[in-house]
Amino acid sequence: MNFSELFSVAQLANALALASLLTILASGLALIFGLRDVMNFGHGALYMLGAYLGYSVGNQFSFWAALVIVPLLLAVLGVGFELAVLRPLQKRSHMDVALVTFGIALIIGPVVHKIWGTAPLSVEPPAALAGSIDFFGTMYPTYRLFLIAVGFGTCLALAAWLKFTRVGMHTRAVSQQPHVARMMGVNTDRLSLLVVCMGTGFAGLAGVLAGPYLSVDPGMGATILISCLIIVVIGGLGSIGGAIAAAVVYGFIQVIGTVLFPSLAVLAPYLLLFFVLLWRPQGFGRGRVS
Amino acid sequence: MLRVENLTVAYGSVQALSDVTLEVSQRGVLHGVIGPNGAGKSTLMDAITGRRKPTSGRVLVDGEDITQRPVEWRRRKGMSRSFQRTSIFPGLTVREQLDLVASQLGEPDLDEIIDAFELRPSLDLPADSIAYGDQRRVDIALAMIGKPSLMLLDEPAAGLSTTETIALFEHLVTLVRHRGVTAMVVEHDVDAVFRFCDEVTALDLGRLLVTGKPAEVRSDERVITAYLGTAA
Amino acid sequence: MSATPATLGATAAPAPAGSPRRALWQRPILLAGLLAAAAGFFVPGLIDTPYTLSLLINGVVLGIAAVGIGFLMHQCGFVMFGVAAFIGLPAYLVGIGSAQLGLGLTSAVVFALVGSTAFAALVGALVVRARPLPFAMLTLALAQMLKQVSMLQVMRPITGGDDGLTMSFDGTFLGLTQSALGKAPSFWPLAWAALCLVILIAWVAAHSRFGQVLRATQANEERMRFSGFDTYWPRLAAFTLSSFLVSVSGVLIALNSAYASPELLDFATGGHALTAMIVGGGATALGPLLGAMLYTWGQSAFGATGYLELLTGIAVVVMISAFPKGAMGFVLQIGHRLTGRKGP
Repeated sequence: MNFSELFSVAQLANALALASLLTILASGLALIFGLRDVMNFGHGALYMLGAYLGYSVGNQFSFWAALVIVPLLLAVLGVGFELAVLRPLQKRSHMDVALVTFGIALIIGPVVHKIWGTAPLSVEPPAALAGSIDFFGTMYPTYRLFLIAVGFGTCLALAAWLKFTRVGMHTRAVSQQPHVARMMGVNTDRLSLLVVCMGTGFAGLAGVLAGPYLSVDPGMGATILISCLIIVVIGGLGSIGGAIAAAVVYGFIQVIGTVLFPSLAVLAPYLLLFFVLLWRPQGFGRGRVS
Repeated sequence: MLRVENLTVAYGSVQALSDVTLEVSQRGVLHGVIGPNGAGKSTLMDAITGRRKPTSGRVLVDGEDITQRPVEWRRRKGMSRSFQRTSIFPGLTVREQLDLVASQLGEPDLDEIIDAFELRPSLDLPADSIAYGDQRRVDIALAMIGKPSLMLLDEPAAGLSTTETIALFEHLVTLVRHRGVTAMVVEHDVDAVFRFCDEVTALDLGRLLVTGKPAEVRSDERVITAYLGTAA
Repeated sequence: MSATPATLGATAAPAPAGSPRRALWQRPILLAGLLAAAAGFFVPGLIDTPYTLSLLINGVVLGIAAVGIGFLMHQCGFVMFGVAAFIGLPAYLVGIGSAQLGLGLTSAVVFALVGSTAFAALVGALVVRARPLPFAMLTLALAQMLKQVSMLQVMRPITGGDDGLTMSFDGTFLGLTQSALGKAPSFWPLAWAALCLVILIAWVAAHSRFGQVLRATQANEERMRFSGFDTYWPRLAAFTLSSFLVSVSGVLIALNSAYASPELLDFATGGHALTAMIVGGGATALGPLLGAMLYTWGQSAFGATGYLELLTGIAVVVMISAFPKGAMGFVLQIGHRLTGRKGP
């Protein structure tokens, strides 16, 4: 076991890179849950769709164009999701709606396969972000630093939005006390629309960002969904702060696992989940969007 | 038989119940608990029945410290409760739910309970289709099953008319005397409490004001102040 | 299997007050069920093409899994999204039992069932404390975890890794050799018998006091606890029973195909069972079977795998949105209307 390799700056950055991708996804999931009380089992599929779209748009135009266009496209999809699925099924049980989102995931998969095929695709980072730069003494891939910056930048922006804007405050209010917020005149339907679009847009953003970092393949939706579910359960359902913290922990556990036990690394998140559940069955966050 | 020692229940910085010590020493009594809103009456009930864990203090039944015991255990040992917001089984008929609980706890005379609470007409109706007043009586009847030695009733007359309230309390008194049950009743209807209860406890803002015979409590200055504010 | 919790007692289900216990031959549904069960064994004689029989077998095996998760959903309100875990695990255990442990076929089957059920009890101990939604998520994570384990390089010698586990059986199971198990006409009686047994177990459990307690807990868990009922152990027992029923289908798959692969642990596999249950309706013991049959028919009608997943997804979305009671609910409604009885 090479400790210096374990605790190097490079590994730290690796953990943060993975974490930043996961925070974007997990916060989107937590937002949708906080507002609509719905666990979106289709979130992984949306992310995958974003990654594939990012590939195509990136090839057609540029990575930077994809970074803007794809989240917008996914946000538009979010409109459909909110209006055609979440709103009509509001009164149904949470399990029913969860099953519907699971069904949506099963629909998106084959659609993606039909259009793009089943072979893995590779996405190159844009020229400006290709290669490595000197990072605290080691040469480190530039793209991953960019990923970390975007990831945590998004989190900060989201936190600021929630805390300092009126709409953000309404979001927090609705997710904590939907009835009271409605009585105070908050238009929850309009707010839901906004927040759900943000959630799906985030999934798209994460998908585009993931392209040059991970591979773009048909199984990526399922894998990342599980990671997100683990993160959201550990962080406490609906808590954004919890989701972000849990994503960081997840990133570290994954990276440490890969260094210490490379052949068993994939199991690290499950061990994490297992121990958290033993210790604190309801997760860590303070629950609801906070 | 029931003793609460230095019971404190705090939610964050709010002290719902502060250092309450009280005792119900006899069996077969009807003990009323009154207090203005926010006095901590329901919290007291929740702490005694195990629905809420106290921040500190103890709950003792017949000398045994039961503070850490789970809800199911307490019920099986003879401590039952009814709920402020009616909590019954909506899909089951009245008979089915009484039978279900009776099969778990054993009940030698279910007919007595059915008749005492006038549930015979609605026995085969789904519980969510009967009148509100009837549902409340089902809620209490469920707590009566299995010969509990200690019953805690949380605002049993909530939403009932004056006539219904009096009828309810008369039923309770009969059952309490007949079965030797000790019943602690949280109630907003102060008149009913003073009229029917053998002992009364008054709370305000989480603290115990006074406990004793109805006449004493009724004329206690602190109680009058709590309800009416300081006299001009 | 887990012991029956003491709180449920050994009391038989109380006869509903007012209705006399009727003799078996007086209850038309049970009689019809027995006749149908007996008739089922003659099916291969009626079917010409081996393809159709294989299709029916698929439907039956899927139906078994669907009945298993339908039981859990209807009695406890918990949906096992990760049902694939208990399809794939026992399948692998049959192979591992035969190859690694050198067990004869019958012992391997017992090993697989016991192992899968025991695993369910252990996982359940942790997982049934959760609310329904986290429960669903956790079972999904469980299935994915098992899939990852099966594909690990270090597990290759045991599970065959990506390539899956090809099995060779030693001995017979209920008189059937490996080659007999692989052929539809000789496999059918086993599959059909298993289905009848699974439906019987699910029906009996649902109509027992155990089922009553579970349903009442689903309706008002707090009141159950305040009425002296333990709510954790019954739920754990239900989860374990449900997983056992699902495991039967996994064992059958292994026996029929002599092969287990990571695909068995995939979302999509779970999706088939879930869809079958949803399409059929989880409220009755037979609903999921109906759903499985419909779904299997749909499978063959829609051919290519790609479209199948699409069909699954659409079926789930449509059924939940528009037909929450499933096909069986629809059938029952028609039945009630025809016989003039008021529906539930």
